[in-house]
Amino acid sequence: MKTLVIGSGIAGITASLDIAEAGGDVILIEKEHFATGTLASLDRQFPNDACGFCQVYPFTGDGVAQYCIRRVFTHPGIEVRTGTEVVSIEGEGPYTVKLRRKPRGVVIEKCISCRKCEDVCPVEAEDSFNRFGKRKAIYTDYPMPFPQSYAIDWEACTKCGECVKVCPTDAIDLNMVEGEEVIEVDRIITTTGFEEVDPSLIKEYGYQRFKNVLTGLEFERLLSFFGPTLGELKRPSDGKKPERIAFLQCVGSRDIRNPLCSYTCCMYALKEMHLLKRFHPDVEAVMFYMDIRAFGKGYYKYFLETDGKFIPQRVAGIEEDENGNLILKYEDENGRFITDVFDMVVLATGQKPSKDSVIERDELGYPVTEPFVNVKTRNGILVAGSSGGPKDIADAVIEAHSAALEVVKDLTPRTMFRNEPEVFEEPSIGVVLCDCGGTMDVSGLEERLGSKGTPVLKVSDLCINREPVLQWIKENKLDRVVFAACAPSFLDPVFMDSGINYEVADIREGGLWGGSDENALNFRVDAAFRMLENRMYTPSEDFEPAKKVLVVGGGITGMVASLELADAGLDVVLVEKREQLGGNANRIKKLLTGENVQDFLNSLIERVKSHEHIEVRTGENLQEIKGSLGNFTVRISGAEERFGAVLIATGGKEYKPGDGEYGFGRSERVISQMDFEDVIEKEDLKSKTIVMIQCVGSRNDEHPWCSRVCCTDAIKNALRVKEKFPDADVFILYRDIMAYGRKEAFYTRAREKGVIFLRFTKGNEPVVETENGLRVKIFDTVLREEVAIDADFVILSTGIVPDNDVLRGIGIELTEEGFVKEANVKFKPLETPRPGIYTAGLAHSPRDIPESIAQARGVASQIIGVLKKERIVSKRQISYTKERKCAGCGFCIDVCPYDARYLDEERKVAVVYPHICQGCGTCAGICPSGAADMKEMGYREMFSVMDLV
Amino acid sequence: MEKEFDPKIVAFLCNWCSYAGADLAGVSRLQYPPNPEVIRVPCSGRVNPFYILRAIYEGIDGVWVSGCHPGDCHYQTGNYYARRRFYLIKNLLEFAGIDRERLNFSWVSASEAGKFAETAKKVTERVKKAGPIDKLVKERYLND
Ligand SMILES: Cc1cc2nc3c(=O)[nH]c(=O)nc-3n(C[C@H](O)[C@H](O)[C@H](O)COP(=O)(O)OP(=O)(O)OC[C@H]3O[C@@H](n4cnc5c(N)ncnc54)[C@H](O)[C@@H]3O)c2cc1C
Ligand code: SF4
Ligand code: SF4
Ligand code: FES
Repeated sequence: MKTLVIGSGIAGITASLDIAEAGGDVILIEKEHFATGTLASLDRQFPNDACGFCQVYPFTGDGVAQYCIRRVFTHPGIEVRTGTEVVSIEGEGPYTVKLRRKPRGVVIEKCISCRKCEDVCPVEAEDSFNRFGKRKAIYTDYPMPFPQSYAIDWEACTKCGECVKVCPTDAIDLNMVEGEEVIEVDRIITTTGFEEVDPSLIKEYGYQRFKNVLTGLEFERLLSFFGPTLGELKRPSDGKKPERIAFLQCVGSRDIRNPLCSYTCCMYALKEMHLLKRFHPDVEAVMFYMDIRAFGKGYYKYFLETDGKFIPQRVAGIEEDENGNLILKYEDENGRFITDVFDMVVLATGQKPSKDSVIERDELGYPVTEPFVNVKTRNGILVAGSSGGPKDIADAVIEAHSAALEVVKDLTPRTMFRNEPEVFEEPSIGVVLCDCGGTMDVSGLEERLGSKGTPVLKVSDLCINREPVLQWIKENKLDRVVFAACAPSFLDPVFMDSGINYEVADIREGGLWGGSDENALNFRVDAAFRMLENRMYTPSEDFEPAKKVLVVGGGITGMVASLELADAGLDVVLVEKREQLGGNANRIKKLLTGENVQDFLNSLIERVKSHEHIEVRTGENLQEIKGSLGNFTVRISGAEERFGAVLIATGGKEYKPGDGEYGFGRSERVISQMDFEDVIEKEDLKSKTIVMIQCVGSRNDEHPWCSRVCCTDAIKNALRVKEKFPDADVFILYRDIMAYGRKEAFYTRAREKGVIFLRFTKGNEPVVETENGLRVKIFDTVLREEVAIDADFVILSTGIVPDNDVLRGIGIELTEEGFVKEANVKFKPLETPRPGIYTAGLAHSPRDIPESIAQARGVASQIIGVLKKERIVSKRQISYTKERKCAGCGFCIDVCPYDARYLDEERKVAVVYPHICQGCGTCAGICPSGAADMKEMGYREMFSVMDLV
Repeated sequence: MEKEFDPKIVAFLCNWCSYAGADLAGVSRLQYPPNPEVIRVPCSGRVNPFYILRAIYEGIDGVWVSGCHPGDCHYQTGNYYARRRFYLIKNLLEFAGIDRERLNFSWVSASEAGKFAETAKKVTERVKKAGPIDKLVKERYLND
């Protein structure tokens, strides 16, 4: 089955990997000449100011060259085509798709990235990637991008032909024309990302008129170590280091041009403040904002950790003085007009879903999707990532998994690719020497190797000339070869699956280009030689995974996942501690968008109960999870069973206010938002006054997180009240309204319908008096005075707290807050650090029903992908234990990040799960007795190399 | 005139970040001394104290271990263990009379070409300052 994925950002890459790993074929197209989308520009991402893009690769699978994805992205099942766009789509699956390929000017398959062309090109053009500074007309976005080939900027190119003359491989074609092609595919996923709202439309901020007014994306490049200033902080106007920087939020969001919220800008601006403080601690940062929307997992804490000044005002306008400084005008909290001078201004420019014409979109560009499942569009095409509405990386990844499910569930797994080269009794080693199109002098090396009698093949284009090289290796009966050429990240994608044992001696990037001398080059080649000689070659191991999944928790998340898994033919055991299925959803009537939750829930329960592959067990208790992916032994209520994977969907609890907290327990008319849903349906609220208080049990010292759903729940109920009883008065007392993304529309509607929003700050919480009737007092930050509201009902927007205590004893790692910890917050948001154990829904973090469903589907996609494989194959170069030396101390077990080691209780030795081990070597690094060792880069190999130094 | 001391340094660079940073330095044509002989390891956490001891013991003048920044490690925590272990062994060796300058640890990400080249220079300078190790090895261990 063939799938077309449109757009190579994180969403497109994630979906492609899911499908390819599960045995599908993917064509991943990208309209630009270089892939990886927005992430190519972001060196570090919230909420940990780190990268980790490479962790999006699945745990399983061999034969994939894995490097930083910004440099190399390959998988045997994925064909990446850059510079390619969709012209038209016909059919309703299978589809006939016409693609158009822009001329790149350089043939990717021929370019060896020798850089000669760039050196001779006489034309300087604007650097479209870094946004400041210059680059040549023949260029790459950044050094070593993906794909690893140059491209021509046609607007700048004068067709002088200088590059053509020097290109050693005739890769450049200045007359290249557009090409069209028609392909047949079975599924389509669109992941075309977002478009920035043009900030120059907001005239009063002077973007483009004033040089020191930048967008967030531009500022990220300016902070980057491979950005236009190589990490030095300089103002574009005069190169001076700024002392004060203002960050302006919601520029081109939440206004008439773009009425919705852009979801990520609060967080990315906070990140930019973090990075600023980290690398330039002396610079002052001031943020102007409307609401700080830090609603994701760990985001509120991240906000608390941000060092800077926060002013809850919108800047009215910016002027520039003669030195390029920027004068900001705004009203302060006392209503006074303030002007303040900054050296630089960073605009948190809004985002809109990119306009692709392949799916139906509403007037704001958001896709029209099925209820409850926000990745399925009406014409059967799937949408994920920011293309479905701007979002952060974690949510883009979750949606991508969810979209991939629609393909994965119909696939028959292929026999996994295996990388099993032969080794001879006696090593027979040769060297392939590449001079990279004649740009490197390798004669010294050639001579020295020749004089030692080593078989040497000299080439000029190793990276594009695979077959003749393989032929030479065969003819010379070699079982191992040294590639003395460029960086491994260039060669692995070419040779990884070629069935030979090789080691790269990087004499280009790490060698001659870095200023290496003859000695250093010799060392590299000799080292590679010794590595090959002393390496341990053993075939990979494989086994059949158990085709049975344990789902813990029978809420919406657990049930959706169970149904998807069972439909795909896996057996599911669904355990629920209560007698009734449905969890929290039992108490929710409608979604914000109006869909009826109870109908949906009832049909889920019915299907779950009657599914032949699902066994529901209520009232049972999970006691222990042993083993690893594909082969877990789980003890449930005393009995042991074997499972291939586990999903933790144990949900969360509503925070229960303390006695007297906002009058709770003192009056029957102080109730929670959830209970209020019932009241709206049953009681007459005509002319009543309802006061809702937000952040009850959220964003405080005890619960330092945002519960994400309460703001919009309050808005939902307020709208419902207004709809049924238009003359009722509804007040919402809030700190920040988390109406992120599309939800902003409901916030706007609530204000239009007369719901009154009053802001309070932490430490100045409203007071509820219950003595003589209900009365709420709040210090109104706009009026600057205390207001008292006589209320008929006080509704507490109680937060979500974790309910994961049962998991503590059974080896599931929790965060400080008590939610289930994921392997990587951004790139592996659904996997726990223990491969094979997944998490979704409220157990993971607070989120609404469609968001929980997306997670459930995402987990199902990943589980089906691994468990439906006939065999799970280990990587080849992994760790092992020299049992004779092992003292059984267990240090290696404690440090392994994947729980790939366990103690054999009888023999008291540490044992490796080969298919889990990722080959990091942390165990071998810590083992005090030298027993934990690696098959590649083991002691023998390493010492043999060190002896050369 | 005596020839300038040309130290032998072994550099263990993690595959995901520091080695990639070195590549990028090369592509960006940043020149740095050729002294650090690079050994690519999967992760800085792979570097066992035995390697460092062995290097010193065999008369290599300096050791440099470099990995991903905190939080960036492809294997999540390898670099934390690496750092902790490294400082332990460094203190131990210092106690045994090995100059601090010989043992170097850094974080270099895949995009920090400049930092890589700078660190390579700094490490080489530091080891040069410490002088040839064989003198030291002989004096302290062999002649006793
Ligand atoms: C300044 C800034 C900073 C950010 N910082 C963070 C952060 O720190 N942490 C975080 O979690 N999130 C951050 N984000 C959000 C993050 O960038 C997004 O969540 C994520 O990159 C979205 O990925 P995507 O794959 O959906 O879209 P993109 O990365 O935009 O990828 C879409 C790709 O599709 C291509 N494409 C578009 N149209 C077509 C077409 N018709 N045919 C073919 N290809 C097409 C595009 O060229 C692009 O390569 C930030 C966003 C911005 C603007
Ligand atoms: S092979 Fe040709 S197109 Fe590629 S970098 Fe070298 S000169 Fe440029
Ligand atoms: S190399 Fe060791 S620490 Fe790393 S994954 Fe394998 S067993 Fe775990
Ligand atoms: S992978 Fe770089 S330090 Fe672990």
